[in-house]
Amino acid sequence: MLSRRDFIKRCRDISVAVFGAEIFAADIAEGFMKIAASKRPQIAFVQGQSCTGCTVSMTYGNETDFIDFVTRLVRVQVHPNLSFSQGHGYMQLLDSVTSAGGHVLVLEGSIPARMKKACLLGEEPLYNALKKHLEKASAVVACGTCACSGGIPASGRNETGSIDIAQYMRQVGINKPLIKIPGCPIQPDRLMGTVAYIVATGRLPEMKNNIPVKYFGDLIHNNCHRFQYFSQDIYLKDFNTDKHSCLLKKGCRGTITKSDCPTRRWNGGVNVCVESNTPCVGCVNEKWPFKENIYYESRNIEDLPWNDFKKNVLGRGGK
Amino acid sequence: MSTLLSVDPVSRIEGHMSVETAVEGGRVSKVRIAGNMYRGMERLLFNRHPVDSARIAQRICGVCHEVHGISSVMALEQIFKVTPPANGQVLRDMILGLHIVTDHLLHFYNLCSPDYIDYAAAAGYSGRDANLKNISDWISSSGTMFVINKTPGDYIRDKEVARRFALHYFEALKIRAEAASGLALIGGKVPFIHALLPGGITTEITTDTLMKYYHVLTKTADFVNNSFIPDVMVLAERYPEYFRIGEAYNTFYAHTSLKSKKGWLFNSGVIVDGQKQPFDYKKVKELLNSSFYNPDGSPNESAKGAYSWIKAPRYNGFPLETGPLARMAVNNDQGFRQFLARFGQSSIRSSVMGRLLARAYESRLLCNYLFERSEEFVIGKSTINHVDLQANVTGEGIGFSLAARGALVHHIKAYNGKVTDYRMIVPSTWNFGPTAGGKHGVAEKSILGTPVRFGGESGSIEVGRVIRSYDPCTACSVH
Repeated sequence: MLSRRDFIKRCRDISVAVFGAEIFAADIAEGFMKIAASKRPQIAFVQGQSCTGCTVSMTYGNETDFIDFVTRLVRVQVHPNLSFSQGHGYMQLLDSVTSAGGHVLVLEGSIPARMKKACLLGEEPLYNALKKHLEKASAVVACGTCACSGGIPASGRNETGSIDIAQYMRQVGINKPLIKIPGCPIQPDRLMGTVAYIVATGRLPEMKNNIPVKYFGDLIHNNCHRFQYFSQDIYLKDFNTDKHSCLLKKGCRGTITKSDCPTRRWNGGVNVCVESNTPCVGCVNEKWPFKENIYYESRNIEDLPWNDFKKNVLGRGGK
Repeated sequence: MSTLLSVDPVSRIEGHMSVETAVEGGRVSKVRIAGNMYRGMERLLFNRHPVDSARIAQRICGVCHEVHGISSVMALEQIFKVTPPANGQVLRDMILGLHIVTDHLLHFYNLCSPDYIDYAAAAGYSGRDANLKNISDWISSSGTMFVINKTPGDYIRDKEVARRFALHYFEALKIRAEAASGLALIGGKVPFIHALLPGGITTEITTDTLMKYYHVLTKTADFVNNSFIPDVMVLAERYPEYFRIGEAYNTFYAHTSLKSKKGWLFNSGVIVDGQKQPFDYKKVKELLNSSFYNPDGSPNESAKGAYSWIKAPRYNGFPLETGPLARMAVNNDQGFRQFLARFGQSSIRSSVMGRLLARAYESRLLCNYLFERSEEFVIGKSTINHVDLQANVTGEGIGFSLAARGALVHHIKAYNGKVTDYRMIVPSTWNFGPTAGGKHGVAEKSILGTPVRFGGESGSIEVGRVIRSYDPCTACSVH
């Protein structure tokens, strides 16, 4: 086993990485020292209408390491893609964790409310089955844009009547602390960091509209490393020849999307969408995937990012 | 007297799937496989701008994330009448190839190996290897439940083997994360690369990018050669009966994919009745008899006779198996035949072990291919031909491509800048389609006759092994 000092150091390293601030690191390290490994709250993972992209993204990690997360920080007890058991044995495990209570329930994907057979959990429609797994949860984490605001399954004609977890909890009359981690897919630090924080401190992080401020506090545009090109009115016209220009006029949604992507970056910090010379599509935005034309330019569409930008950003003093 | 056994849900796969079987005289006599989740990916793209599908179609599946993006962009390029420059093609192949290798690693170690290895046997370690010590502590700590394997079965309980696999279980995750950073260097981030647009890849590629890619590719290739292939061989030697279990129709299907100066890495074709024939897209039909759809394709959860959200694709009436094994069969790969010969197998036939071996062999093939292919990138030359992403295009495009799990088609029709019809024919749809037109789906067929020695309330581990040998991707299969 690790020595006590090594352990605190490790917790600090991890929490510094995931929260980017010493203040949280101390909280997390202290929290983990107080609770024995076997007493840490259990995590039960449930998938709705999902693509497993959030789970895969989590396994890739960024600054947070997935293996550390699973083996040292939390007790991931039930996960559809990882659990060694199958069938009835798997359902029993899920039932035993969620009926004991106190667990953190993580939901990936949305829930079909109208066409209930469009997503089953075991033999039951998820819509009917999910309630009992939520009832004794200490907190609910919506993992990814589908769980947070419906995302792709709820877009277009939404034939299955897909809803997000907040709508679901209202419909079935459950009131639980809810933390939303939007993203299509989630950025791994944001999910694992938040869960680690809740488990270690027993508190919820500072949130606005159920979304942690630490990760989703400011517009991508404001921290964009291409901001200087925007200031100089240098806009990308041709993807082939322009490699260092502002992407706003190609439909970049960095001006309407609050996320720390530009500084946190992805996949070990090697890159981020805008740096690969492609517009931000606003995948953490609650409107994702938007009604039409992801790459609209400055033409004829009412929710144009440029208009939103003028209204929301310049309107409040260009912060 | 038959016993009913069901695996509901099938865990360690992508998505929501269940299998019902009847067992008679120790063998599976009846089977039904159901895909249990539907989003309507094809229908929600209706009326959107065709370019949107390059972003949304990728999100069919977060496990095989890049393949749908590339297939849909290939279709879009026909609509936009543009082809990517040579560099753009090289980058796409670099993404596709490395992604497929990492997908194979995830499948073998994290999804499939717990069917064969009793990881609990890795506990109780008291030696000097710090990693093993940590794993041992973790497994024996009272807090870990997802590694508890309650499904009875004939697992490998040898401590040495279990420890080797336990180390590789985690190493595979690490290698995948590193390879993902290699993909992100080119594509922006993974899952779901946004640098992929009709016309090519937007990213500015420097020597530094290529060096880093080369670095992760080398690491991945080392792991494939030193761990993946030897580990699959351990299973092939320990479970020779699985060369006879899980046999479908021995019909195979693959597309031409992954180009290089030497030609194509994989050839296109269909094998039916032992005869190879050219693939003809016109012969593909998706039957809806056993699926939750109305004849017009709209979803209907109470459709008569339906038991699955997966459609049933047929080629001239035949269900076709697709995947790495099918690619080897269609290519008639001599190296793979020699590999099989080591285990006394004289031909490429559909089986559980054949599919596992094909995946490992193909990973090495892909790594070797990628080393050569990445050298064809010319620094300073264009990676993308610009297209107007808002053009009011009209036309039709079909992207014939591949995924880790087999041959992939995205078929888009557009009119005046709107999608009028979107059709995806996905590998797991071929493999996991239900019974229709008087024929079982491919995986269903291969489960029939499976000997069941360990059937219990969680279903049989043998049936689980057959199912997982296909690497099912239910979100893809239903979409």
